[in-house]
Amino acid sequence: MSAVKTFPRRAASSPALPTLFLLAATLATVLLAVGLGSVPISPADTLKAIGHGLSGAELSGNDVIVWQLRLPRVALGWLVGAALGVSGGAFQGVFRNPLADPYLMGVASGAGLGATLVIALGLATLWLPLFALTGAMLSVFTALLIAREGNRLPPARLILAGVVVGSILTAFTTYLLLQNADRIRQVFAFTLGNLAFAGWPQVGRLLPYVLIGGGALLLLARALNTLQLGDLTARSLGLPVERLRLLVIVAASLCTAGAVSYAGIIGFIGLVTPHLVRRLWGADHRILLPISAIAGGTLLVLSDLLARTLTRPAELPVGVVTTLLGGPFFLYLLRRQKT
Amino acid sequence: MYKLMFLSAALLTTAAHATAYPLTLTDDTGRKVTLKAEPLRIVSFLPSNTETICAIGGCDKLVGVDEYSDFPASVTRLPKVGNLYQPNIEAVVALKPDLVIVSKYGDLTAPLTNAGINVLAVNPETYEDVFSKTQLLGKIINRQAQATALVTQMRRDIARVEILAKNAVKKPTAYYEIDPTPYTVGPNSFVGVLLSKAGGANIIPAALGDFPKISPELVVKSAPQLIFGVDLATAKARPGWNTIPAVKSGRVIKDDALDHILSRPGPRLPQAFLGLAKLVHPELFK
Amino acid sequence: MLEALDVSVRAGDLLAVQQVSAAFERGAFSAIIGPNGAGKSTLMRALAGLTPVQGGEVRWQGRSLASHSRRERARTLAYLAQTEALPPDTKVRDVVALGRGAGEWLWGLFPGNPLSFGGLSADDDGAIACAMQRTDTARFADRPVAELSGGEQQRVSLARALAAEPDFLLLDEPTNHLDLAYGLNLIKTLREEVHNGLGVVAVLHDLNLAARADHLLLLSEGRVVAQGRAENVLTPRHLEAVYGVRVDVIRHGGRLVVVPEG
Repeated sequence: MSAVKTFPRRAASSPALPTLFLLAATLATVLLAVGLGSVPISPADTLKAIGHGLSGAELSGNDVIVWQLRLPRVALGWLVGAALGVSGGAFQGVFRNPLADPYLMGVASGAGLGATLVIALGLATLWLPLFALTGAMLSVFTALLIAREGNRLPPARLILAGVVVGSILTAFTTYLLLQNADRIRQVFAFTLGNLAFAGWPQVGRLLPYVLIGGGALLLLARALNTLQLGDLTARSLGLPVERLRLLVIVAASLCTAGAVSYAGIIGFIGLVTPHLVRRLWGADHRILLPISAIAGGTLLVLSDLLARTLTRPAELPVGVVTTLLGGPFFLYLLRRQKT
Repeated sequence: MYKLMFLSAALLTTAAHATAYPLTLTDDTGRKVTLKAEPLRIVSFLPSNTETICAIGGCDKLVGVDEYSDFPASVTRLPKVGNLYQPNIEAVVALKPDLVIVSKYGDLTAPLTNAGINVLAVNPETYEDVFSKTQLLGKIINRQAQATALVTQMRRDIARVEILAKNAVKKPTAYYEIDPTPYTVGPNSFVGVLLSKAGGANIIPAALGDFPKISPELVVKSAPQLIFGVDLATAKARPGWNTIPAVKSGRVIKDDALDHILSRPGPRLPQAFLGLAKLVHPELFK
Repeated sequence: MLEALDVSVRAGDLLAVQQVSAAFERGAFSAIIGPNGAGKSTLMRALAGLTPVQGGEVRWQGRSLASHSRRERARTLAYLAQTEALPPDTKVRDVVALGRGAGEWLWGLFPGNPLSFGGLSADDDGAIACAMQRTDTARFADRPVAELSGGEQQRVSLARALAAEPDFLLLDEPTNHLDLAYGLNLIKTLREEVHNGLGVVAVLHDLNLAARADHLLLLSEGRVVAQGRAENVLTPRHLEAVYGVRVDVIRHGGRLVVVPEG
């Protein structure tokens, strides 16, 4: 109840202007992200490379960098950001809590443990996404089982269960890390997010999670609106509240787990994006969710662009950039709300 | 018999290069440490230090080692005392050591000093460290002559290989990956120095530092002829990497045994260097 | 007719409602009264079909309420919770529109026509406009809820409930946070709806507001103490027995007024 009151106030301006701005920003960010990188390539060569890639011609020289490294990296980054944005919005909606984020149900710690297992056992890195995904979904289902009270899923119990499962898995991860201290850096890289080896196959493999999870969330948007009236009122309006909660959590976790498996744990996008969107577009989930997806994608591509170019040809971990950008911004939002 | 030989060798050289105790020195954490007498019961927490101590005839002084110390084989029979990050302090104390040699990493100094045990941090990290820390350990355990002999031997072994590599007509460009994040090594790092001495041209500019996280774009753009630390299947699966000459020619090498000794800046340095040089210039070592 | 037949409801570990039987008519204003912990809100939830009953049966339209589909129930019985959470950054009109009920697909989770994205039909628009007009909320239809006063928010909730065009309106302490004027205004609005055929059941704390109801149900410790017309229920004997306070009941301007003594 009191949490609801802390949602940021909606701006009075019309949402047409922000929408236009968002689309322009998305276009500009994607263009810049494809054009800039650790290897300088002229816009003309970039366009030529895309032409070669699209036509299936033999790739040579910079073509490879543009078509096989940079484009899929931008595409994967955008998909991951979109997944985090939409599931962040859904989690905040389903818990009626603006501090909820996509990792609330233990997705991150589950994926982290999966990834650490692969690294500690010395398995080929090709196994990492599968292990991370399995770990993420297992931790969500464990949290759901723990939180269950008969056929009810009380939000407070869900949050506690998520925190507990997360802590236990993190303890396992830390233990494994200490046993394999020489590989600690690889695990850190995962926990800070990494898009370095994004290729078209990864984009293709992540796409179904985002489409299915995100699509389900968009269809549930109106039900999420109804849920904002509180459990009791929502049920009186014919909404099966517990099923809705279960479905939203599973769909949003699927989205998040997919994203985490291919890009590591990227912080703040899923928390900050829905806040920003709610401020400018209002709280209607039918608008909030799709816009959060677009904004999340764009924010992550932008962060990755900074991560790739600020210290080029070296790279910063993208999670460091999102946290450095998102953290202060989030604090700013919180401060503004108080006054 | 073996022990006796070392003992007599030590006795012979004591006169010329004996360490004078009490010995006060500043260790790698910047702490002043005083050794009252020659240490006789030593616990080592760093595998490379373990190897060095044994190589200069101090193996019989070791009463315990960390769990990663596995060379020479004799140390594997010693009591294990955990590792730097999960030490078994009680086990260390129970061994009644008069010196524990640790790393500057981990927080072992305070608890052990509180237990009244002398602690010293010795951390070989760079190429030159390997030699200076060998000398330092020689001084600490009163095996200075052996340490000098070992350093001379190592320098000579490395120089032999280095001269061969210098004569190579072409220096293949090389990329050495430490982990698939990807992190790599700069030219001034331990492995970076060995790589260039072995006649390889590191694709990483020195300005990026010793252990930079780099963009895979850079690797594709630099088109190295040799890739270390990645297996061929993984390299082929990475986007765009099948255009890299090393991947095309199959000169993508993941040699776990070699990586293992390369991660130990100790007495097996010449052996690691020879292994690396053979991979960089197989034509010179037929 | 909405009936409770020998209804018992558990809330937590205790039986909050015990063998309550009562009947509520359409076109009548019924009030449920009683001290704190008497089981008023629990009974209200049972009548709305929001909590399972452990004994007896709630009957609606001649058959067990449990046998009605979720959708049928939502369309005919509207419920207004004691503290309804209104999403502050949502426009008033959008809140009222939520009263049109959940979707049709897959347990009502998805909109009837997925392509409409949960959009509204002409019927819906009419019902929403009508509900806002009757509650005098049309004036701030485009403003976010957060900008409204408590009393105005209460009217938005009422409009949301009326938008379903229900047969019965069940209100749990609707006047709780309202000042005198808003409280009276709310009762007046409800009276008009009753006049148009709506059945209203409200849990009320203020006995003087309850005195205006057509039918009263006095609960104590989960059981019915008295029910019927105000003059039969609001007697000093009943009220003293239930509240433990001596009261005078006097008649003023044709209405009963309860005055505590001392």
